[in-house]
Amino acid sequence: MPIHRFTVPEYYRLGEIGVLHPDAKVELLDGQVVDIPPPTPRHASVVTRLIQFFGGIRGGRWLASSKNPVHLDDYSEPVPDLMLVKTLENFYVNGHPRPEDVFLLIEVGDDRLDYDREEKLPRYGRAGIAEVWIVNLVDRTIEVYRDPHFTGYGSATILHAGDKASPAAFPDVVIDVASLVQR
Amino acid sequence: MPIQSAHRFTVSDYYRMGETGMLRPDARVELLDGKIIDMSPIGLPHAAVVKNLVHFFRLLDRDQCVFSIQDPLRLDDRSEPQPDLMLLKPSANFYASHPPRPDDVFLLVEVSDSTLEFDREEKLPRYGRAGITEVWIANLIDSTVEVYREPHFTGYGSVTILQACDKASPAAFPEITVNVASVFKR
Repeated sequence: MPIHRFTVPEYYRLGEIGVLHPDAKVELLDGQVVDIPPPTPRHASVVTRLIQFFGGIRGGRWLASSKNPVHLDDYSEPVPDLMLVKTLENFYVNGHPRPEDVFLLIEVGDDRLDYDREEKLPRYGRAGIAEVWIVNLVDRTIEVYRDPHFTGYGSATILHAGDKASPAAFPDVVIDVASLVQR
Repeated sequence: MPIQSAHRFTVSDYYRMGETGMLRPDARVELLDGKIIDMSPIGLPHAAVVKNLVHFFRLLDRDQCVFSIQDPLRLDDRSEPQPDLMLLKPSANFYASHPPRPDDVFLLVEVSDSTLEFDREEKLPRYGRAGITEVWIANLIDSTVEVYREPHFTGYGSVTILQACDKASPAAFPEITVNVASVFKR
């Protein structure tokens, strides 16, 4: 279907004219407005763990931002579960973070794993987001994607409970995979 | 894009976008199942077939039906396509106060060339589900008229393909005969 594509400014206009509710949980991907379903408790708990972990590390090396947009291009502003972005004194008040601002982007995947992998991940790669983790609650793994390029990511590593995960940008920051994926 | 995740807009959202200039007045769009669809620009052969078809029905006066050419049809709260041609039930104000609905349609015609697959697979089943009594697809690629009747939940129970030597007649107006060869004559 040749679905009409909205630009990012048009997407915001939809909010202004009342077509999208101000609290609507939506994201814009390739010009299409996509509903973000309410998170399961399991999904929410993993996001909370991630925020505690990355938010709790002092040093000012990154800002941890959860469920806020990343501006990929004129037609895409997805909303990842968590991003570690470059510190900015004004906390991005003038514009959402862009791919070059992102150290690490994390999606927690349960019901919408296919969507995260097949729709969001390639677009993150094409936009040049350095590293993406998909915390896969179905298979209980963390999928680590690096080497972004036009069609996605050049490298994919699957980590299991018992392994440790570390963002390439901060190799000293280590998280136990088990803490995120075990019930 | 997995269709099930896409945000579905209602007809009132769609109208609001039009009112506020978000959809440009010359934008050819339709609303189908909550999704705004871009329509391709009408090619000359397509436009010619529409003009040609209207003449076959010219003997029907306003007490018998109202003609609609590329105007909206309100299928439901989330669908408002703009079929190429419809013969609608008579309306004193020519549908000035509300758009036509499925029950108002005697005959709906889509003229299809590059959109043939879309018309057959996306629009036709929705017309059937909405109970539109008869649909013709004027197939520019094969120069045939596909006649669909017996609407039901998944589409149409009966389909007849008419060729150049055949004549098509709407069930609602059997006295009108459309010469298939003449429809596509160039």
